[in-house]
Amino acid sequence: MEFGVILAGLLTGGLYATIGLGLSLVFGVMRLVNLAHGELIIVGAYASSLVLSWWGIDPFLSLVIVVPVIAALAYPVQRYLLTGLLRRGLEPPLVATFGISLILSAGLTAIFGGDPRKLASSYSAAGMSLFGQQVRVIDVVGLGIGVVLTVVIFLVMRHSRWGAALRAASTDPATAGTMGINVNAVYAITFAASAAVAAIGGVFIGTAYSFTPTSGMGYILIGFTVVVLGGTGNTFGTLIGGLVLGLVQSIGGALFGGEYRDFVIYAFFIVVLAAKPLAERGLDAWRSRPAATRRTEVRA
Amino acid sequence: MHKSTKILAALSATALALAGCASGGGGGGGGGETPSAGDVIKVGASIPLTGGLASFGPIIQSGYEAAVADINAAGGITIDGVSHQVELVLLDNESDPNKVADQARTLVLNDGVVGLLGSVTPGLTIPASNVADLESVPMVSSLTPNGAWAAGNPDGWKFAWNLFMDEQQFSDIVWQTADEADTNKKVVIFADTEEDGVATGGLWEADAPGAGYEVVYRANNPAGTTDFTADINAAKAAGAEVLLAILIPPDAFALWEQMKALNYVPDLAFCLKCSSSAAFQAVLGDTAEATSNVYLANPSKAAEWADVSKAFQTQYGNNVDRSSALAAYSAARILLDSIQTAGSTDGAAVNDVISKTDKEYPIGKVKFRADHSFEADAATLQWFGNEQLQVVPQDGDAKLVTPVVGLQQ
Repeated sequence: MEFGVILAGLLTGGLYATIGLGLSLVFGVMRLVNLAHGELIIVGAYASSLVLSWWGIDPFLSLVIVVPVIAALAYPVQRYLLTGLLRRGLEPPLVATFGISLILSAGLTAIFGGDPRKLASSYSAAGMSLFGQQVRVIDVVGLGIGVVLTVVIFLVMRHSRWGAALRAASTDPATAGTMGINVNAVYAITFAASAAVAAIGGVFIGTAYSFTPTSGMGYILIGFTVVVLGGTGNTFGTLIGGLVLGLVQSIGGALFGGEYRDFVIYAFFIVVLAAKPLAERGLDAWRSRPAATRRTEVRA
Repeated sequence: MHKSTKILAALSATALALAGCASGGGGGGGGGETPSAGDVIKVGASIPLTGGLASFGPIIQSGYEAAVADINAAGGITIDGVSHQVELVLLDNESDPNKVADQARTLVLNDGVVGLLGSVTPGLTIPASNVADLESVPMVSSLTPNGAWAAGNPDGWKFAWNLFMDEQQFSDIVWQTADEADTNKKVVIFADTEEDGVATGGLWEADAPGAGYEVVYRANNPAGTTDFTADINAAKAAGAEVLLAILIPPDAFALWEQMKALNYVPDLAFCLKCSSSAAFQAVLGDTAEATSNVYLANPSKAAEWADVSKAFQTQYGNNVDRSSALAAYSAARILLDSIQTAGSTDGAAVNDVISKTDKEYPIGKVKFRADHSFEADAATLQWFGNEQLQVVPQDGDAKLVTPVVGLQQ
């Protein structure tokens, strides 16, 4: 196996991790499956294209404007629509997010048309040498974004007051409410943060690749795969899930040909889905044994 | 009989009777009735204004609208000494082949169109062609490769007609162009796994040895692939100097930028399907420079079509979008001219006139073959700035440029 194939997989995995992070965040906190996440990614790309065309601001600099705007637009959607639906079970918000995805996709088509677009930048076609391999600069940036976002989200979740409130609201919303935590606001902020992460992913995708109003569906499939691989609500697990998915895709393509790339990914996905509960049950059984027995077995 | 059953039976009979009336009232298949004075003559099409092929819809629309406007400006269509204005009815099929047949049927049965116009790609054009044959309403289409379209009805089309290129031209012109470039005759093929990607990729691979070329690497990737790093490195390692790609535009954008980033600059790079719309250059900018494409040759230089050709060039620029609009315009003009010549909206009469078409249109001198298709001239076009100029066969000052300078760092 050539090192270049592995490196390409890892670099692609950075983007996949970014896509999965936002999904993982809302699912981990609210058990909300956000089917509109792919469209939120694409909305981020279109928002950046507007900033670029209106003011000529570089796509990555446009994040300063795009991220808060997308987050601000997402906040009321959760606060005044999805949170109320969450109380009625998991299905109503699932259907609602599917509806939002359709509305966003149709709205983008109506406004921007169906032509593929790209965020113009001088560095999207720039190359560099990394560990002796020629790679795209933008792919290295993508991996960097994935790692930085993972670390930032982890630190905020673990070491901030908002993170503590978020974990409390996630574990037991009723008790968190009695402790003075505004659970509805926590949910809305979480959804806004997820949309902000999606927008960052969208700007990266728009710069590195291209996008149309209907591109979101492909990315949400990747996002769900990453989240399931990495463990729902597990920040570092999502990063690892993204990297593993990138690697499997790249190695699968190199071994079996590009036409089998998706087959390899989803075959791997199914194997992981099947094996994960068995592994977890085995681990639980091992943990539930008396400590002395475990020590004995470990020494043996 | 139970009372509710009687009511149900009565309602069913009424519904069936009404359906029969609606069908008859709409004119039914084949037009047939002579329009009264003051009536408009309707023609219609189901085209992709949204969805994956939305970039083609507005171009086709403008071609059809221009043809109808020109006919109306010239006094409309005269039947039995009475002039009738033409009305164009367009429906958006959202690029969904499943919607095309329903919409074409609606156009014929509800809107009363006397002729249908086509869409783009075999997936969207064949269902409408089926309706044309079923309802005995003439239909003229373009922007659909002839072979795939003809294969859509193994028994042969009766009321449907198509004017575009044959798939074999996609291969022949590529080798003709490559012969004019100084290459090592090693070829890499990037094809997607869609119907046309598999067919054209296979055709290139099969024809290469006979043309004196060796396919040293073939990358087959599903549509939606964004990372081509491994394939590009393999093509580089194999020393391929001729690149043939048939990909959807978003995938091609990624491939072209990755080739540039990875310092892979072939002498010749064709991008079929991907650069069949001006969006290719609009998105890639300088990276598109000297990329080649096989498409319709330069439009007719007949004085009759100079104005419309110039108008579309002003609207779209000198590129494939202009050619697509002119192809759509040609299809619409053939249908409308045939109604005029037939002096009737009867489907069979109009169809008969279409079969005898032998006239210069913007797409070329149209004369249909026995399988109801017309083989338009194909050419290799290269991007120079925001223009796509014909380089093989040469038709003007533009000459084939090698290597693909847009991919140089």
